[in-house]
Amino acid sequence: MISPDVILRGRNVGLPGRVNKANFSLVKTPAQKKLTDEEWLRECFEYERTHEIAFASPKALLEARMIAAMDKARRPRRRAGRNGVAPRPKAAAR
Amino acid sequence: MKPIIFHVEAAGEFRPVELTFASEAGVRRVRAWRKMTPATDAGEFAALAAKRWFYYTREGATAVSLDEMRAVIRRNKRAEIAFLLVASAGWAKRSKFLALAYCRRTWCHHLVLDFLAVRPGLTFAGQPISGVGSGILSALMGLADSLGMETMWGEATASSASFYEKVLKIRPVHDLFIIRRAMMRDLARRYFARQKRRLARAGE
Repeated sequence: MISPDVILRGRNVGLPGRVNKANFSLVKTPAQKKLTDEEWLRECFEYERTHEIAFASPKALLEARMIAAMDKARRPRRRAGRNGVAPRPKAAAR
Repeated sequence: MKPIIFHVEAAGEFRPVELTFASEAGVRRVRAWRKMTPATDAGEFAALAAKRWFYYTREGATAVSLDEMRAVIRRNKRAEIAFLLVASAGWAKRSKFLALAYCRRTWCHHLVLDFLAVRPGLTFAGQPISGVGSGILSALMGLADSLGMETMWGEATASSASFYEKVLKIRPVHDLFIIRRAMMRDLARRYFARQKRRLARAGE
């Protein structure tokens, strides 16, 4: 049996044309306005006037929190008994 | 080491701020921010940066001066060293330290910025003080360049990316910013030259 010819001869069977052909102008991003040094400095200062500057690298933050947790676990707990106070007797079950 | 001086805007004037390596006493003061400015990110980051600094100090991996850092690097080229920089100003009497930057020198001689925090609610003569964060970042670039570091980098978050985009003139910044030496040198030079010109103009 001869397998059917899946390719139609004489026809352009290359990749289909793009459905959503975009103009090049749509692809381009708007050009950034080049700031002078004076404008750049002013923008930085303006930014700081309106935003809180408190930044941490997530990795550094995680490490610092782990150190804090380790410190807390290592610190001896203060108990009333250590301050010379006699431990309270346990309440008896009635 | 002489402090690195940059200028910030306070009550319509350009005022000097000194950036220095924090000693143990300085780190303790920074740690107290959490009590003074509770429920702020800056307060929490200051306390955590201090905690990390003390931990690294116990391991002998911190430096409290530029000379000490240079000496450690001379002894061991692959040393990892952490340091805390603090910004202070004599004219801002109410707050000893205005801001902090916790940095690391990595084994391959790069600079990493881990924490950057400006004390919240900073005012002078009833007006906000601005330019501390960008001043620290510019000073850090100058410092890295003077130490012969080829790269400075840091992790950025959704809230910090726009700040780094502005100051470092990189667009876009995603979760990482990397600045090479030529750019560090150029940005630091332009930042300080601009400040100098502004100061000269103010003095006329």
